[in-house]
This record gives sequence, C-alpha cells and structure tokens, in this order.
Amino acid sequence: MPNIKLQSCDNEVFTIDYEVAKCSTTIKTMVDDLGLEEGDDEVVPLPNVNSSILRKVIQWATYHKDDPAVPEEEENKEKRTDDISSWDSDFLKVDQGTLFELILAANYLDIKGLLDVTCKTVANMIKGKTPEEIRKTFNIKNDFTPEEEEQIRRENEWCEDK
Amino acid sequence: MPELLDLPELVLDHIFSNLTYDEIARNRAVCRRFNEMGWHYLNKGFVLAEKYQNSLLKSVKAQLPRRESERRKHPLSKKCDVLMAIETRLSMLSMAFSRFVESKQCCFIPGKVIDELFRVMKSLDIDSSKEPQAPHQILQELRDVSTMAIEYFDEKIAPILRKKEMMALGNIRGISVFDMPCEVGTTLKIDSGRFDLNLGSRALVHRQSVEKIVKDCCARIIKKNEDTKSSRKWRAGRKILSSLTRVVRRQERVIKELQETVTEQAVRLSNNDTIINDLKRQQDEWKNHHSFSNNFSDLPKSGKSTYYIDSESIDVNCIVGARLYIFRTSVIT
Repeated sequence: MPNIKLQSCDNEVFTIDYEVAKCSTTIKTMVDDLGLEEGDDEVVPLPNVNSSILRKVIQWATYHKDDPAVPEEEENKEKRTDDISSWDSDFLKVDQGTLFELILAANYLDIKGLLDVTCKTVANMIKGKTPEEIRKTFNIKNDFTPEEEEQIRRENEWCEDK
Repeated sequence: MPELLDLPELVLDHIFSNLTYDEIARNRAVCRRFNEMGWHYLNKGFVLAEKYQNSLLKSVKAQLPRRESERRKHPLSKKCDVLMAIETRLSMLSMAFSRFVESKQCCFIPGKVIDELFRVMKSLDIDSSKEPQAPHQILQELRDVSTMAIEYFDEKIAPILRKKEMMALGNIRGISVFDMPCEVGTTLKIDSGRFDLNLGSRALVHRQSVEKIVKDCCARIIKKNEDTKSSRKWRAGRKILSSLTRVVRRQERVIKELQETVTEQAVRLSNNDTIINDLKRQQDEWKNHHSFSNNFSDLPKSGKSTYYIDSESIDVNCIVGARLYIFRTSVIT
C-alpha cells in the first residue's frame, strides 16, 4: 500500500495511505506535479495546518475515503443543511475555534466534502437565530450606526407582522 | 483561535449558500460584513431567479407545438402559463426595486420572495412528467409575498430613499457650484427652502444668514480664484446668491407694506370707536330730552311759560338731530 508523508506546520510528520490523502485536491495536485512515486521518501509540507487539525482532517478523510465524488455544484440546488450524517455531526462536535480551523484546513487542502459539511454545520449555528443571538454566538460586534440599523430593520419589516 | 469573520470570503460565501434568502435578508442586521454579503447574495439571488425562469420557459416552449390551437390542449400548457405568470411577477418586482438596486441605494430586500420563486420553479422543474396543480394554487403564496413586499417597499422604503437621493444631489450641487465643504451648500439649500415657506418676520434673520454665507463664499472663493474654472463657479454661485438676496428684499418690502396697512387700520378702528361712543351718548341725551318734553306737554297749558319751554325743547331737538345727521354721514364715509 503506497504511503505518503505529510508534515504539519509544527513539524509533526504523518504517514498515511495515499488513497486517503488523495481526497485533498491540493495534495493530489502536489503529488502529481512533483511526480512522487511509490517508495519515494519525500515529505509533503503543509505550512498552513497544525498537527492537531491535520490529525482530525486525516481522521475524517480515512472515514470518507470510499465516498463517491461530490457532484459539481448546481446553481439552483436545494439548500439543505439537515443531511449531515450522524458520524459527521459527532465528528464536528468541537469548539468553534477548532471548527473554523477545520474549515480553513479544508479550504486550503481543497477537500470539498469536509468543507461542505463544516460550512453546513456553521450555517446550522446561524439558522433560527435573531441577529442579536448570532452576534452573541460568534462574538461579533454590532458595528452599525443606530440610523443604519434602523434602516435595515425597517427594510425587513414587510414580512414581520404576519 | 480564528473567528467567523476571520474566514476568507470564499468560505463565508460557502456558509451563506447554505442559508435561505429569507435568513440572509434577516441576518443583514448582524453587522456590516453580514450586510454587505447579504446585499450581494440577495441581488444575485434575484438575477438567478430570472435566469432560472428564463431557461425553464425556454425549455417548455421548445416542447410545445407551434400551433396555438394544438398548444392549448398540450399537457405542458399549464406549466407554460405558470411560468408566464412568474415572469409577470418578476417584472413587477424588477420595476419596484431595480432602479434603487442599480444605484446601490438598497439591495433586493425581500429574500423570502426569492425563496418562494425558487420553490415554485423547482416544483415545476422536478415533476415535469406529472400534471401540475392548478396555476392559482401554485402561485398563491408567491403572489401574496411579492405583492406585500412591493407595496411595503413603495410606501415605506422608496420615499425615504428618494429623499436621501435628493439630499445627496443637493450636496453634490453645493460642492460643484461653490467648490466648498458641503455644509455651506446644505445650509444654503435649506435657507432658500425656508424663503419659499415662511413669509414672516424670519426673512430678516435669513437675510443676515444669507449675507454671511455670501461673504463666506466670496472669501473662500476669492482664495481659489486663480484658475478660471473656480471663477466660473464663483460667478455662478454669486448669481444664485444675489437672486436669493433679491427674494429676501422683495419679501421685506411686502412685510413693510402689510405692517403699514395694519397700523392704518388700527387708527381707523379707534376713530370709529370714539364716533360710536359719541353717537351713543347723543342718542341717550336725545331720548332723555324727548321723554322730558313729553312730560311737559302733558302738563296743563298756562300761557307764556309753556310756550317758553316748548321753544326750548324744539331748539334742543334741532341741535341733536343735526348732530346725529353729521355723525351718521361721517360714519358712512
């Protein structure tokens, strides 16, 4: 079984199955471009990912390595966020910081499946909340002037009192 | 630890794409970043809905027979009707919003309408084989929400945006004409507005303020008077200001005239009062005398003395009558 060595930004080296690593388009392209072959002792550096996050990413990729390829995004696709598998939702029961780091890693490593499911998780955290609750959840500062806030509130009022 | 707003634009975009347009519209109130992204998303959503409708209608029309009589019987004709109805809705929405969206004064506010548009069109798209429901049933909700959104926007939001636009235009004009900070331009505008509205005593105050502004303008513009461009602006500015000053002067004259009329009428009124009082007094006197002379005539006649009193009473009567006549004529005149 051909293996590949990945090095996190804090210099930890992970040796994993190439089949698992391939779900990252970034790594796949690197391997293709560098012409790495079986038996090479080359280490692929990943300067944007730390070891704890890389470990999680590898865990996710190992579980999903046999998934069929994610179909290309359709413009008018249905917006569904309730289709997260139970394994994924357990896997993503982490603190917000870790979740965002996973998103950044998925974005950098170009792992579409992981990016999709993490973004859906964040979207679910936004859903059903008032703006004030969203601010509280994500520690966002309300940087509107009172006039701007009033204007937006007024613009959205058309469907409020039903 | 990264926070939500530290994530790159593309990723935030990905997160937002999992929300409904209604949610995106509501979440504009969270912060500026959310507002910007929601703004962009809602505008894009409306364009996508238009495109979707277009492509659906095209594909349905392609499947329909060309002849009108055959088309009516075709199973797809209902679908075509619904899509045409959606097109009407879309153009109504576009009429209400597009002007303000294009000038970036607001975004396509009603996210819920976009959601409903997509819901209806998807239901048509997916079960293309099945006979769709009656058109009015499918379109009921879309009609309701889009009408609500348009009515609310026209009544409550568009007037505010227009007002803002006017004010912005005023400011821009102020700057381009006077080449000065906009506060001065705005003050000028407001003052000239008041000239039209208030005829009263404020005119003087305004005149002073206008004169002050004129002086300010001149002082500032003279400084920049080197190039011809600003001198042209200066001339234009002066022209406007002198016309404003003329308006003030004209109104001052009107006020003066009005005040003169008022004092004149006050004098005439007091004159009339004294005349009326005199008249009353004379009338009372005359009445008293009349009853007095009557009493006398009731007395038994006794030669000379009676005659004397009678002649006296006639004299007094004559005088009273004459005076009354004079006063009456003077009152009438």
